[in-house]
Amino acid sequence: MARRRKLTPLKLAIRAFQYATLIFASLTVVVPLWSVLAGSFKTPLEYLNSSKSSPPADWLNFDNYKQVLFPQSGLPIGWAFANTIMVMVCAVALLVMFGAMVAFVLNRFRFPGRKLLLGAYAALVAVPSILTPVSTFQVLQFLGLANTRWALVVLYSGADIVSLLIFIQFIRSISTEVDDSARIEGANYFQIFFRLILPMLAPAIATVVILRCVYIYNDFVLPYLYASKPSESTVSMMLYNFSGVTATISQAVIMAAVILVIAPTIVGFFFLQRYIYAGITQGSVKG
Amino acid sequence: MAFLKVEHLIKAFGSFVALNDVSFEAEAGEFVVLLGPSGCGKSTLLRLITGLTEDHEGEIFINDRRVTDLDPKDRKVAMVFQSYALYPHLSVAKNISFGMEIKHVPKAERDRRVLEAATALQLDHLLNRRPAELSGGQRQRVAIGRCLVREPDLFLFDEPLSNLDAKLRQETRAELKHLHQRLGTTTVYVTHDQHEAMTLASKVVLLDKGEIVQIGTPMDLYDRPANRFAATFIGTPAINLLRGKLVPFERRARFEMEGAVLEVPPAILGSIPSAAVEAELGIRAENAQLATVENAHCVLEVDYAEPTGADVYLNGRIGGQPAVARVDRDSKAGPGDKVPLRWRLEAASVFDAATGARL
Amino acid sequence: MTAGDIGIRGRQRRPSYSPEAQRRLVIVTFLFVPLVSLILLNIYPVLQLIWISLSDFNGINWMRARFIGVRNYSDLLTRDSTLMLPIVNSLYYLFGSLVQIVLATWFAVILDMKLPGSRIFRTILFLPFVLNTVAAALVFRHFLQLDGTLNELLQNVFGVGFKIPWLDAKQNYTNFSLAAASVWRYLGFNLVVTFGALQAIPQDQYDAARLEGANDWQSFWRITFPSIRNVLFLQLALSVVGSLEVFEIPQLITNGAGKTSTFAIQMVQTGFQFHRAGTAAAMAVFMLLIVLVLYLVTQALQRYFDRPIAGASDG
Repeated sequence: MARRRKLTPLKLAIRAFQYATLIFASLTVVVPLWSVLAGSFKTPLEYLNSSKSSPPADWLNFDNYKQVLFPQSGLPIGWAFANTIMVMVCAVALLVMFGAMVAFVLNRFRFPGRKLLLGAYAALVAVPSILTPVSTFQVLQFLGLANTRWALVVLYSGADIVSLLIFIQFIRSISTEVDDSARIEGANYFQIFFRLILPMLAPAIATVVILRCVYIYNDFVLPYLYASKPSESTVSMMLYNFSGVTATISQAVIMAAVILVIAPTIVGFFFLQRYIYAGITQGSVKG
Repeated sequence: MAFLKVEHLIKAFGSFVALNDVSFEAEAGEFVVLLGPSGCGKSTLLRLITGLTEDHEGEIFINDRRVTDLDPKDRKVAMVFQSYALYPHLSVAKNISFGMEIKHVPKAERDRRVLEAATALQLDHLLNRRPAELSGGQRQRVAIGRCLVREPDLFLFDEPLSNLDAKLRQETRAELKHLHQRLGTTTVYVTHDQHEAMTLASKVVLLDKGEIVQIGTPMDLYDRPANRFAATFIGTPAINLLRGKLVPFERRARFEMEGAVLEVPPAILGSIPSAAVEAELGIRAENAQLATVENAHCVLEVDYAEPTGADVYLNGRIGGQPAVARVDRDSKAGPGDKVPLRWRLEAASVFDAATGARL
Repeated sequence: MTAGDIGIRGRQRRPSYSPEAQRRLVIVTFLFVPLVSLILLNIYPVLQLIWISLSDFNGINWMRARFIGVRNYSDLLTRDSTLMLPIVNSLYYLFGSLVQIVLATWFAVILDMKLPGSRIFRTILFLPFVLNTVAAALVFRHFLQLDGTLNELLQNVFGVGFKIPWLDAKQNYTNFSLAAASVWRYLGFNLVVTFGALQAIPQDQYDAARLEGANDWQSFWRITFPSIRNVLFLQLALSVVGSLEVFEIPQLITNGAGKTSTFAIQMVQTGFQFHRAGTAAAMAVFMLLIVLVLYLVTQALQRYFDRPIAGASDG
């Protein structure tokens, strides 16, 4: 907004205030996270006796982590990660493939019901997944997928207006002259789509993949409703179940589990920040 | 039969008629330019010839084959698009061989053809590059290369120079001319730039609002435009149009306007009118000659002078109407001067003031 | 010899389909699976939801379900009206959302000034949004629980004498804590969206305003605000709908117990735990109607605000 001008005392005061708010807000983010991180390295006894915000005695005390990764009873959380990754890969692959197809058809062809279809997708955004559990569950049962990770794959790869809009917006920028040129060279529409359009969609695909993966990894509602069995569940459910058994497990161990779950996200976030920002801005423009 | 024949094409989009009964022919090896302002239907006409746009009335024949119902891929045509439409994720070599891959041409043959075309277009050292790494001129050559390997009956160009800057435009124009001379493939070229049409075409098809205005060589259109539109569209600076009356006089005609009375050479008129007609005299700036006050046709009141280096263009008024005259570079005429002029009327045209048609 | 000849040598010439037929084939093939998915997983559940809401289905045995018309709905308004009470808690979250939007706009504007350190702050403030929901809830719970970090800080740093039960499920004020958790989690989203909109405003407008003598405050209201108005509106609409559907945060932090229940939690409980799928479905339909009405209202409001103003030049 304003560029550098002479700093009057008033300006200085305002600047200081602005920074103060930024720092305060940042602290509200950092302190709780720090507290959990610190706690994850403390022994149960140390955890009970020390201040929550104090650093652990030994930063390399991985006992809690070992307990989470290799528990005496119950499923090792490796299962949950494996399930989550599998769901992510399958669902995102399907979403990208079919999303691009729908975007291609909607953008390149005219046919009755075109606007209706887009409208249907948009309207479905308003239906939150939390409202239809009974009926959706019925459908999943009918398909024999209830309470399995495949239910999640099917649900996550379904209608998503944000991905669709990102694809449509991008396809719009691909000139139809490319289609025309290929048609003259003898390509049919299938070839045009798979050999030309899809590869040219790469940036949009990258955005969709990142956004969707983050969403799937973080989601709680869908696993809770449709795949709550421990062996089929994702990291969300694993953590949820974990946190419920506070009687037998020290809080410190739960902290370790939390850190294990969010560590990949934080690492990925630092590398992919830009794409995530871009994706959100894009997706909300047509909101 | 002519190599390319387009008969009575009519194409409408809903209630909007883009092409209204358009017909023309081209012999083998001709360079046909479809010329006209935006929206005149020239691009639509091109797309009908390629087969990208369907659903029209009329017939199209290419090389003695009736292609009217055929797919673009079966018409043996190749097209260079305005934006070149290169495939950005493929290398130059793959861009050129794309069509052959679709048709399952064996690899050895494909490679041979690609190399041949690339060498002819001086692209052989760029074969592994992507379009994004190429300059505008190079990209266009790739687009042309893509067409060459198809060995088509017809080359089609859709305003290929409009994305280039002035200098590049000139160079590429020369390249296209050379290419056509070397290969001799029949070419249909769409543009709105009359200068391109003049320099490249062996035949010009001038279109306006979906209808053919005139067909002829560039010089035909330049010297004997069929109507006011054709006269003003072609030529820079624009032709002078002076309003007046065409009056029959003895067995010839005179053009009477404010500030001048001119004897019209009968050769430039289709027929001598029976009665006086409101008309416009069209005469190009280069047909002006400096005259003495006694033998002048008219007097030009100069507004300003444009020296171009080789000549001077005097902009001003004749009898109150705007006009431009080209005079020798040594002329010192300036604003406010009254310059007596003679015109070479054999090069003039007379148009009906109401309809614009040539008289 | 041409490319066409080489291609067909040794192979029967296939009849080419008309372009129209080809187009239809592509449309049908490409849309088939997505449409099936759309119908099965999105459209049909909604329809069935309405159907179930008109029955006394218990969620397990479809055979025993009977059609009972609108009794579920009327019950919700009378006998089962306690089930609807938690909807009031949505107001806490709505309030939180409004605070969220204001804060996000504040921070977005500051960050837009590209002060030193902006990028770090943006990263930090956005971080909670990309964290796993359960993890984020647990982190915040750890922070707010009775022997949690916040109370400790208050004691040790500010000398507060007792531990404040931020998450006491028997108290109404706990909803504020939960709303705060929601703000903590989602602020980053609003921040990024508003920030993006701010970045899109061309610098020229500000320069022109400065030449005309406008100060920061005036620039904000005359240039910045109108340009991001739509984005703010969008966020407002999302907040309203979001506050009605709140489920995850209260479920994860306080288990939705006591006074912290929400409409959605109540609905899920009714359906799955109390086996009253019909009632739950009626609640869901009710919620959908509210969302629909709100959507239409926001659309109308937006159109009202975007209407061309008679007599004004541009923007």
